[in-house]
Amino acid sequence: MLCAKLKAYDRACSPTSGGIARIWIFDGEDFDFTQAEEDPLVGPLPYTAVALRTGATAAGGALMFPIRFEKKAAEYTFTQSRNGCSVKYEHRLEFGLPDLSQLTTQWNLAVDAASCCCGVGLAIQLNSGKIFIAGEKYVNGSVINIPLEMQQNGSTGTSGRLMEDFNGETVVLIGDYTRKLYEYSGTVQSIIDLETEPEV
Amino acid sequence: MKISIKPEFAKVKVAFGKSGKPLGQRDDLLELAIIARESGNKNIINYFSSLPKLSELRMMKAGLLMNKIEQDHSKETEETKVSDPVAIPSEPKPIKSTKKQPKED
Repeated sequence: MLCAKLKAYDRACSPTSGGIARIWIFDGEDFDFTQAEEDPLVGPLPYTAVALRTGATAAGGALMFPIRFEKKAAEYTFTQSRNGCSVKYEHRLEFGLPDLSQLTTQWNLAVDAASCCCGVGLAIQLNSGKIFIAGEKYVNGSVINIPLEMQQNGSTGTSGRLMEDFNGETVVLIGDYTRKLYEYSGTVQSIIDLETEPEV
Repeated sequence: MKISIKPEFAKVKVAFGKSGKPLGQRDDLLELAIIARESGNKNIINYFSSLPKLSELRMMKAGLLMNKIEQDHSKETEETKVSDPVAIPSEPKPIKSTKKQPKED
């Protein structure tokens, strides 16, 4: 207490599960995340709302794009390291895209361009139900203090050799940051509703 | 005070709570109003034509919760009355005698 403010990890006793249920990719410049003021007792709070920024329109492509990945072949990991007081979190999302095709080529071109220019935004729903956000650029209407740029780096692909072999690519998105990812507290349905344009 | 959004934002989608439907279709704008006040996000605040203070919004939420609790309580009380297993029947059933009745000639 006299040196640092620590806290207990005392989650309610309940089961949880590993694995990833859903992934969305988005342009971090399109969305504004809302976060309540930091609670001095518990620390930063999760994001509570996601809205389009001024100028970004669903019709113009400001959407949450779902990734139909190979089931049971997606994983989010992070590695924390330090050098003196300098802390780094290496965030990594890996998932399999089945079926090498023109579609995967187009998808990679788009993600490579975004990785070069501004990074990609990610919403990741774990099988525990928790939704994490990576690569957000705007919070509470202002540019985020320090941006996390998630970039495609290290993806691999294969046709396989045998009929039963995997044919597709393993996408790797990585980014270094100063902290762990923040959660989004809304339901998964609220993110799914941002996949499409509003009906006129 | 009723919470309402500006008409020009009725078609705007905002993800929060249970959905990301356009604001004009939402019945949970009180939640967004609280989110707006708690965060101070000017973009969200700007959606509302009028936005009470956070304390007033929390009072409104508490009032809604109290109403729901009262409604649930009334409903449960009614259900208990209907399915009461020890309820006394309006007319008692006649008791059958175990004695043999004399035959009529």
